[in-house]
Amino acid sequence: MSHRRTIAPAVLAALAVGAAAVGCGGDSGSGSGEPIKIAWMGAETGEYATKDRHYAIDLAIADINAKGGIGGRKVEYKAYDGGLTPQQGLTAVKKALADKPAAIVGLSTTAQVKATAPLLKSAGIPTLHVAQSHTLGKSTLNVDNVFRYGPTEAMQTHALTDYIVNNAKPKKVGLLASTDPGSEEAARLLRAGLTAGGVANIVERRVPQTATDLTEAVLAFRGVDATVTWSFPTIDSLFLRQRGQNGLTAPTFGDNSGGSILGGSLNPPAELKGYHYVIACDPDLSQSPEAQAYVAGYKKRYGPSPTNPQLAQGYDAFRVLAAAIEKAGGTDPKALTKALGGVTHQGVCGAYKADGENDLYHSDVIIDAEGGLTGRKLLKTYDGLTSRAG
Amino acid sequence: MGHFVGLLASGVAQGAIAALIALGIVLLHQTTGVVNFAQGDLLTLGAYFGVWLVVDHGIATIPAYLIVVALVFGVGVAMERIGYAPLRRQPILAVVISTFALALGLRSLIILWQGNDQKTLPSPFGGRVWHFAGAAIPYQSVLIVAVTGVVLAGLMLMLHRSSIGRQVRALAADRETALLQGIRVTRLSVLMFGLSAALAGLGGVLVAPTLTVSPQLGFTLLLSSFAATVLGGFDRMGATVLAAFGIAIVQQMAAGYVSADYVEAYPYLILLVALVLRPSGLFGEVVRVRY
Repeated sequence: MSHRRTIAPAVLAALAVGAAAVGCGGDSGSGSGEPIKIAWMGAETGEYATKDRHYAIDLAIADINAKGGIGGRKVEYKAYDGGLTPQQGLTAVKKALADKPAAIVGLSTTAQVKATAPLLKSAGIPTLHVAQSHTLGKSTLNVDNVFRYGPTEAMQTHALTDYIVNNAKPKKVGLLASTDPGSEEAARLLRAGLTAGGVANIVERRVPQTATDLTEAVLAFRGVDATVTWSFPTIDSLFLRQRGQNGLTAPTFGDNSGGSILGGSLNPPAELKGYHYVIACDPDLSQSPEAQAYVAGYKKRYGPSPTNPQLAQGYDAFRVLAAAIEKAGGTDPKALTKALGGVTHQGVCGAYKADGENDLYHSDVIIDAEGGLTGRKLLKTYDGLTSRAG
Repeated sequence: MGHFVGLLASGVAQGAIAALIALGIVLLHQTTGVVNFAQGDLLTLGAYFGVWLVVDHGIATIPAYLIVVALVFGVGVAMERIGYAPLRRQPILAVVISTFALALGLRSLIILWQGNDQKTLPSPFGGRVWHFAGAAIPYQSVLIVAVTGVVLAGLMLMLHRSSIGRQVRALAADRETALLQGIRVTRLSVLMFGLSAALAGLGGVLVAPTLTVSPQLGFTLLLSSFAATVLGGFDRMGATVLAAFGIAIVQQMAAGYVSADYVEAYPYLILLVALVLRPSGLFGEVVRVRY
């Protein structure tokens, strides 16, 4: 009896996935005036399910539909809980494919993209992800219909190390990273970049993302000319706090956790002294008309507070997709995949154009966080970065 | 010298927080036989209550800390009524699983109430530190250690000098005989659930200014407290406190002078080695389960 109970759901699930794969010729309403359905894969529950996680994509949908949609068809999205793990991502993609979306947007971790790539390849549905590993390029994944709309860690570490060696000019650097694979890889790239830039002495420390005390690392970094952190907001925030308490005055350069640290006011202004970070973009500090329009729309809809810079690329992803659908003349998966490969879009964060690895975005900015959320400054913009290095 | 003192001070502060959580676990276990896996989430709740009172409502630190302790005491009492009292005659495993369920439920309620966004609770001392022997010790850490000392002394006094303490010790020594002597177990278990929760809440509001407050805050801290509880023996309060400080200090020293790569593994290595050498815990003779 238990055997039958086990098999029945498995058969149903397999049929559902098979039906999804067979029937995934994009939404069937192509050209019929039915809405264009986009599947959003975000962390809808858990630690990273922030209150504002849909703000930018809601704004993108509203902006697209306010201009009559795409080819007269309205655009709508449905959020699936992609979580952060491969299994969560796989489950969410299977559910989404069963709903026959025109495209999928949002997978955020390397393991998720790797886990879902075979299914996405067989389904053929164009997918835009934001995972950072440079190993997720078209040639590595061997999947044509998967694109990336954010920077790779290689781009970010290149921008950060270039800024450090040319501005701080350190001889001795303290490098703190967490023990997750993404941070480990970023630490390797940072070390290579710093060494290539003439940094002779690098003191490295690894900590788990659950660490509650960084005293040992902070003490080990005494006497360095600069510190670099690549981890999660909680760890970077803790490092900034303990750095200040222990009198480390060397400038600190961090990853895009800086956006969360400023956005959540995780550290008081005194602890932000000398703190800089790299991030994909910061619309509030950009002078481009696209960014200014986005910021105005965002504030009109959600209030006068600064926008969350981590979200702007979600807005751009939907706009890039809309431009590609227009270029393709519909949502046929093959035509849309081809259009994504050739589309050019000037977005809130900058220019989007796919390279040979299906990476659409090639920019990063360095932010001086010393003034806090309202007083932060744009120090340098890096454009034309390539997927695998600088 | 400064390096050594800095690591030592950090170990003592970490040990104090682990001790506060572990004291709650031991107190409850002595009275009811229950190991409460929700202790970490009660600590998280204490931290969030602190943020809510101090940051959102501008209440001064000391009154806020006291209110937090009272509020988490109330939550502990409610947990006893929901998760323990209905299962009193059930196998111990059912109660333990119930505390797991309460932990997850509590975390979900915290997320519903405060969301997932990370928050901060300012320290009453700001970022000020005490410079001692070349080390910079945050005053918040000094406060944590001082409060832990006071709490431990208070609990010892309560256990050895009060009627309630005598009842708790009687229950710990022999539950059946204690019942025959007329000890009101129901009232006592309610009180101990509340007191145990209050200790976690106090730990939460004290540690929050040194970390970032998130729904997962208490879970990490709970793990090292369990190591201390097992090492100290579930029935010995003083031994558990010593174990908590010992583990944290050895962890910091090993990170500083052996290798920092295994900093999170050290507490469990210490536990493993200690249990191999002394299976009943460093200080205890027998680890018993009573119900």
